[in-house]
Amino acid sequence: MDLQTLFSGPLIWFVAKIFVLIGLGVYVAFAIIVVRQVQLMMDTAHLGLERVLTLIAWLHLLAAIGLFALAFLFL
Amino acid sequence: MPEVFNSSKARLSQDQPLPQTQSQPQAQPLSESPVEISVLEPRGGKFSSFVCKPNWIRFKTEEEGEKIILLLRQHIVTNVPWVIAAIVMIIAPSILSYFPLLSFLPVRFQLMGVIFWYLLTLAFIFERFLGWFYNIFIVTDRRIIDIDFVGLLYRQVDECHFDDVQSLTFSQGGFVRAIFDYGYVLIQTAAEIENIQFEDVPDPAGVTKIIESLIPTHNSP
Repeated sequence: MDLQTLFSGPLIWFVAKIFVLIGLGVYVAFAIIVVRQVQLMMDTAHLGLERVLTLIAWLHLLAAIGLFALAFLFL
Repeated sequence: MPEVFNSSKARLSQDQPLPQTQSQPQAQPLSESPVEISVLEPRGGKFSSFVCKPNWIRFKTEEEGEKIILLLRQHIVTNVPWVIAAIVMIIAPSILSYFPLLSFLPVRFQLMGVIFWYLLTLAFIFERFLGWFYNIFIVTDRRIIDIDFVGLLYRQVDECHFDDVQSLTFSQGGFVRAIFDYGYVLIQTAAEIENIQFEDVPDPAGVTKIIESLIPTHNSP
């Protein structure tokens, strides 16, 4: 089996899926940090938009986790 | 014969009020007169860059009875570059659909890529907004505070009491700054933090006047 045959089949997309999942895992970690960042900012100053910004940060995290799950299931 | 002394003029001058001393300067153009803090009207909303006497704001090191006089951010015009970048990011997938750059990928990968791209765009907009919204300068009736968030989880809070203020300067250079009236205010202090700089704040001349007005008020017995 030559390299072209080896990597032209489903194996290459499996490897690609692994890399995508690793990238999305890093992105989920970033989303968690964003939530913590917003908490830190609100702890420093209350400027009137705390609820909205917290909601956006958490929705962003949920979207990142959801995308990770979608990639795991469907890629 | 030259006039040596005119008693009628001397008598008239006795009835007139004494000339104004240094503490009561002659009438100056309104733009140069000191600002009376008590007559400053509340001004600005939650998204404003120049907020006067806000009553909805609290900060971590706030002292009992301390009143916030000014809340400043960078002028809203400074957000234009990243807003344009965000618009480009939003419309990029639509434009790139006409160019088959990713056609070698299976459809499921392309779909994931587009979803991830929009998630990244959302994060970019959110991060830039947070950076503008929470990097603030606060002037209270007791001190000046500069709150900076650098990076994701690094915050720096510089504060200076009016006793330590040594000099105030402001600068406003360039076409855009002149048109939209924003610039820098530099506060040189005798404290551990040598300088506090308000960057790209609206009406730097007005900010300087307000701070100047607070300094003698704070130092008065």
